[in-house]
Amino acid sequence: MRSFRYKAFGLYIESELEIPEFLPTDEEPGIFIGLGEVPDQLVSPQFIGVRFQASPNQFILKVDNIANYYAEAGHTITVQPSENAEMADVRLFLLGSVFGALIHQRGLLPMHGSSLVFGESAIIFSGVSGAGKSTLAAGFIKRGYKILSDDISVVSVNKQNLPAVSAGYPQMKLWADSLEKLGIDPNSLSRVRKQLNKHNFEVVDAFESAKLPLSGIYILHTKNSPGIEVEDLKGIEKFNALKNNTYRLNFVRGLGNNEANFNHLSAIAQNCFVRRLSRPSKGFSTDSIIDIIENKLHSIG
Amino acid sequence: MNTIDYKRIVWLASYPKSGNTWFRAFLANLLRNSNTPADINELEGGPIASSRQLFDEATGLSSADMIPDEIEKLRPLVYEYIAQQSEDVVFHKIHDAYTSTPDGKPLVPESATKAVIYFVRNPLDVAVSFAHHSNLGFDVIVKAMNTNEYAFCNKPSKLHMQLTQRLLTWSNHIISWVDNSNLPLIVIRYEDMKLAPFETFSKAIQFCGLNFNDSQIREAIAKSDFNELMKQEKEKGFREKSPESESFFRKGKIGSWKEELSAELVEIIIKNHFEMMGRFGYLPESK
Repeated sequence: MRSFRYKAFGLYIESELEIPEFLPTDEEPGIFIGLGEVPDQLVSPQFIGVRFQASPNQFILKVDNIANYYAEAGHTITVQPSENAEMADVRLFLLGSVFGALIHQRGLLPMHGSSLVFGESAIIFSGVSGAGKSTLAAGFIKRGYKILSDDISVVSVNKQNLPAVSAGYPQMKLWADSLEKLGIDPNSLSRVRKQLNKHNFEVVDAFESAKLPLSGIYILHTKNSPGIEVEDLKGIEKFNALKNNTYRLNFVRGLGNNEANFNHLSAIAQNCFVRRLSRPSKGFSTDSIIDIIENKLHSIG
Repeated sequence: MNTIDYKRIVWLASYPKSGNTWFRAFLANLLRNSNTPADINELEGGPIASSRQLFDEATGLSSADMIPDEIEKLRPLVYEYIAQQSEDVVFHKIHDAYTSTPDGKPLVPESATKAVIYFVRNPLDVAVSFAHHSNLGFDVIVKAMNTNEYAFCNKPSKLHMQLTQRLLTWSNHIISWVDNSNLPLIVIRYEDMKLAPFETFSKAIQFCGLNFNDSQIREAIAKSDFNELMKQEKEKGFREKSPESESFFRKGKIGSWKEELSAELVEIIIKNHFEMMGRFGYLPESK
């Protein structure tokens, strides 16, 4: 069977499934994505969610009418697409939750957030779904900044225990509403899924493909009062904020890699700033948030 | 194999602005039993059933990548999951009407439900409170309350912090839960919470099978007094307030509609909701 080689999330991948979102590479792969049969369930799952099962080294995700996925030991993903499924839909959940599980299996830390390049290092913009991570990242790109990753940012630590962020892949997903705020016509971009008014936004020149040291994390919050507030988090609050913004924290409970998760979070807590940025849920501009972050970075030097 | 009973969720169900939050403050004070009144930003009954985060964590899927029908089909399973993950009774607020998913299953499954406390309030006062809450005209709200397709968080062009919630009309919201759900349910009138707090709150607590004595209930009622809630909101804000409104705890009065609603809108509400208003004792005496 024909296969493709890619680099994404700092990993080298060989895939039977064509993944146009990823960048091609000639490097020897460490991860294999194949089409095949996915077991109905794990033999002894440690944690069962509504649509996933996890045990150390094994993970199953089921997306009705799209595909079932099986990630093993951080190096193999088996995909079983449903009949008549759109391949774009099959890839959507593969590149999200399934890669999230695989990254956890490899003992790396996927943070739920988009990372951007500031000087020689990276900052992750994290927060719950709907907090505005991707919109803010797109706003930075518009100002000439480079993006490392959208939605999932893979953090690893080196021998000195210093955290760094790997490059994801050069594509973002933005809702029509966000695109319009950025002055981009949503109709000029393809849809993530036919039925969703959410669009693929390719970042060609604005993509940074190198792994960069992590300098800090902004956690985006919304509030119902005016004004934008930035607060430095310390101690247990800092650690918990990081933990709560781990991508699919529930997977960790089943995969049993709490220790790797804890070590990464501790390394970030020790070496990076963590700031909570609260903005009004309505009546704010992305530009005003970017101004505040830029000022903050410059004032620190 | 013996099956374990996972009926652990007590739903705090209501059309918006019907006393749900007040009851949650009471619950927080009752269950936590601290010396000072519970923080209004840490009430019981959260997260709301329509929380996007709750769905994503439970399913392992990103609801932001899913179409509304796909999400709704999984919602009953999310509630079964919550019930199974809980060690004891848990309270969750819900504004959705009791509807069926696209594959014909009840949105709120019996298998996860211990009880439902359904809050109802005079729709004339709901209209006033709802309009202030959302900073919309009374006429807009009155129309929404009579629109069966009315829903929260359903704009397809953006990502809402919460999942889509179908409310139906004010009357159909009541019918869906009270008449059609077949769940163990008690109706609590906002007006009774106001006028006979001890009896009303006690009744709700007993219905859920919780054991608290009279003085505990009286103390929790006192700590969740409307003035206390208003005072706390003034001091530190309330994170559940709509960004559109000045304050969440505004008046909490019975009969605000008499001063604020036009005769024409009162007429329309009565015409639209005559049967349910009659059933719960809300028809003005002259009608």
